[in-house]
Amino acid sequence: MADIAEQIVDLVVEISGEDEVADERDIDLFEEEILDSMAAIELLVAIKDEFGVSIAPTELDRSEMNTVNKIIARVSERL
Amino acid sequence: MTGSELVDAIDAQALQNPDRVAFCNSRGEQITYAELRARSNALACWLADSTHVDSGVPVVIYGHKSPYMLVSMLACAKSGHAYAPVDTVYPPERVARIVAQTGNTLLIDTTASGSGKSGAGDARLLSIAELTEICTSTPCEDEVAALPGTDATRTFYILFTSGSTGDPKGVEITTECVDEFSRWMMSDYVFEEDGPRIWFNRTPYSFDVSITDLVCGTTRGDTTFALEKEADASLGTTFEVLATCDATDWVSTPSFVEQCLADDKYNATLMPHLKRMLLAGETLRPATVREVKRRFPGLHVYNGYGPTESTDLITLCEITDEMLADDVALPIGYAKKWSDLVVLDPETLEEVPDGKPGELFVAGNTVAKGYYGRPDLTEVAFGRCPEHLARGRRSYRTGDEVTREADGLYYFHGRLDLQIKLHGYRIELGDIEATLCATPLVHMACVLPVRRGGAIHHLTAFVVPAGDAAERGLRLTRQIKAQVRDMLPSYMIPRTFKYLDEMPLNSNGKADRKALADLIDA
Repeated sequence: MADIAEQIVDLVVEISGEDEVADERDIDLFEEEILDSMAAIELLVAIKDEFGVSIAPTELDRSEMNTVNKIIARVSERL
Repeated sequence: MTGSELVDAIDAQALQNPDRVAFCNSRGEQITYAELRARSNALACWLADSTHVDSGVPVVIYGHKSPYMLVSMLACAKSGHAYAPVDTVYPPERVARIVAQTGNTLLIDTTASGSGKSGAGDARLLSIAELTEICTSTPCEDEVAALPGTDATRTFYILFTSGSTGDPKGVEITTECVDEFSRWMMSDYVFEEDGPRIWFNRTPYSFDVSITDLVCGTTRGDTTFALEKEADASLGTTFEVLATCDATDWVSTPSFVEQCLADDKYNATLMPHLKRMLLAGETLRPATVREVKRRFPGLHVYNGYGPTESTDLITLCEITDEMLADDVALPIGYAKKWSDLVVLDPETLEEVPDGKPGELFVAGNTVAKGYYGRPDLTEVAFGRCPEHLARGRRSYRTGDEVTREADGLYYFHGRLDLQIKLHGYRIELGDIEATLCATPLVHMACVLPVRRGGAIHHLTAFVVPAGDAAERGLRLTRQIKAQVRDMLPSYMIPRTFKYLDEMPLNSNGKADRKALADLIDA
């Protein structure tokens, strides 16, 4: 579980280029403009490659995946 | 006759296919060829009256993919005005600069919300209510017959692109440019034999990739279907539109296609009528084309390239299976018909042999007049091609490094200066830097592209904060972003900010981009 969390933090940092999300896992990634819609799609593609968890971008509900902690929870429950 | 082959062709469609839809959008608005002709004639009569707007001056057309933008463009040509299209993606301050640069004449606001008002400045404003009233009036035949029209050497449109000092620069495209571009596309891309097409349009009209859809779509009496930004905001709503638009022809940047490919539902079941896809505006990767062809069996995929200064595209070719056989860079195409493309050594301006990289120059009738009201910038970029190669025609120095192979195909390598393309948007890094430094929070700024897999992925800003910006990190980033939002469109705002105590400088006293690039890679 901890490993998944770390891996997802790494992905978000890698895609957003923003180191602070590692420590601020509850900030709203979209409101703070850390991720835009293109980066969000990129993140989903990376999650699919990394964990085999497929979340279709057309089904993405932003409010369910707008913080690092929510992304970790969403991926964990699908593993 | 209006003096423009394109405008005449569209008017002819109004007589041949009056009820055919010329343009529609994902908001459900549409306009037929007969309506397009009648409304543009009515508006042209109003524009030709010099008590409303001085004759011959440029007019700003503000809005987002509304039928009235098309009506206004045609009306400008018919009444002898150049038009400058400005999409709502531009924030008010940037709109105001464009309005000021075109002489504060007239801004036609085609938005229902009236958002053009905030950027109109001293220009006369024509609201959607007034516009609708004028366009639905019926001018007398004599008035229409007396319209001045345009001519080959007159400016047809002025497209504003990012300028290196923070001021957008307006590229002046003539009627001859547009007409020759249209003729080339009809001969080398759009073939006569097939029936009416539906062109999927995603690019806003202040960017020149849209010229391909609009010109090709209307010349032959086809339908242009525009995806609006409301529907473009999420892939879910985009796909709903794609499923119902019946598009046969797709024109966009590669990065938009890559976004769509992230969802498995993007395939021939979603868009069963799609026959052709033209991609331009940035580097096209073989993997993207391979995946598109897998999802859409039998689809013809084309790669195009060209600067705004030479009317949208100057090279074009179909991407064949042979080109995809090895994982090597794809060609940007063969040279545009009737134009001369020459590859020169950027220092000596001597021709380089096939197979060797050099700077691309283009000479011909689709080269712009220059930058509107900026003879200084025009002189640097235009007319620099040696006379024996330009053969007496206008020429433009692209600043792009390319190679021409013996088979006539061109390959793009990159820029020779600080201009970049991000997701198809052309950006001068100096434009962003000047805007950042104009805020009280920033002392010095240097913006760099961050690359992944060979392509530019996002922008990052290295900033030395001003004295009174105490806190660094996310909070300061948010404050800076909020301050530049009125000046820069969102695609020009760097995604990430890094803070420095001092800027590394090179021997010329300028920011050392190489040292900063090493910080990104570290």
